Amino acid sequence: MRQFLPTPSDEPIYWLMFGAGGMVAGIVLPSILVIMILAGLGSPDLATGLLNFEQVKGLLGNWLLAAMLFGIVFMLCFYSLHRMYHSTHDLGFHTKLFWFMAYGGAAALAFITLGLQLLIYFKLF
Amino acid sequence: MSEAKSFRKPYKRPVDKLWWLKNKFFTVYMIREGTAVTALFAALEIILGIFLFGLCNLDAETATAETAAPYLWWVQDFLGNPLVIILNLVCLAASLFHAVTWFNLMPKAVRLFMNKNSTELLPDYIVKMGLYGALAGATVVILVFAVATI
Repeated sequence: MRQFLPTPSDEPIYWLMFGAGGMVAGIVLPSILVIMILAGLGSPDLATGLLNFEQVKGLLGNWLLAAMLFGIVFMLCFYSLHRMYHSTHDLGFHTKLFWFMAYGGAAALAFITLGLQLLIYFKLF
Repeated sequence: MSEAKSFRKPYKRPVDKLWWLKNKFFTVYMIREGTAVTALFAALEIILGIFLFGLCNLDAETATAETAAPYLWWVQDFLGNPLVIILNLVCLAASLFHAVTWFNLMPKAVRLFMNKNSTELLPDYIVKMGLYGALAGATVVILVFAVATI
């Protein structure tokens, strides 16, 4: 008789990132969107205006601020794609394919962001 | 993973794709889930901005309109596009709606006890007030920091 042992679930890892991302989306994202809207309205230049070139150069060149920005983007990607994956069940799609698309996409976006930020950081300083 | 081969063939009931429009409660629920799409859009905007910043010539001694052209396109033409501004406003509204619903469910998800010797829970409004305070504080800190570092 084969023993059916309970298998540990990997869901807590994703749920933890979902919870952290939900906090980021609720607490930090509104002000980031306000900044992006103001930047769009203000049409910043190389050194004047909100989100101008030199300001963003300083943001991405500072290791602490760059790491915080990466954390925000990373958490947002996993949060939103986790939530969208679970919403597909509500719409009647029960396929593992969406699991790979959601978490694969989130991991890909996170690695792309990390790579870009590291490239920019080491190019600058 | 279990090595046992599964012979399960679960019955999947056909679902009307618009079931959530028939009840107001479910409609609000689906809008709440839909705020994830706008959060992803905001993340993609930021990633696009980082990517286009990386395309700029960062070795130049002094940045000119030519060396910083990709980033200036993102910040002036992309973020300045009326459609993107409207989408960003929708994202902002969705993000605030998400914040309200998220803070409302947080006392149910995180159960904080008054002290070690009782099973009495911390009142809901204290947890919610803490989260709204965090939202207000983070917004003020980020906006002041963004304006101060221009």
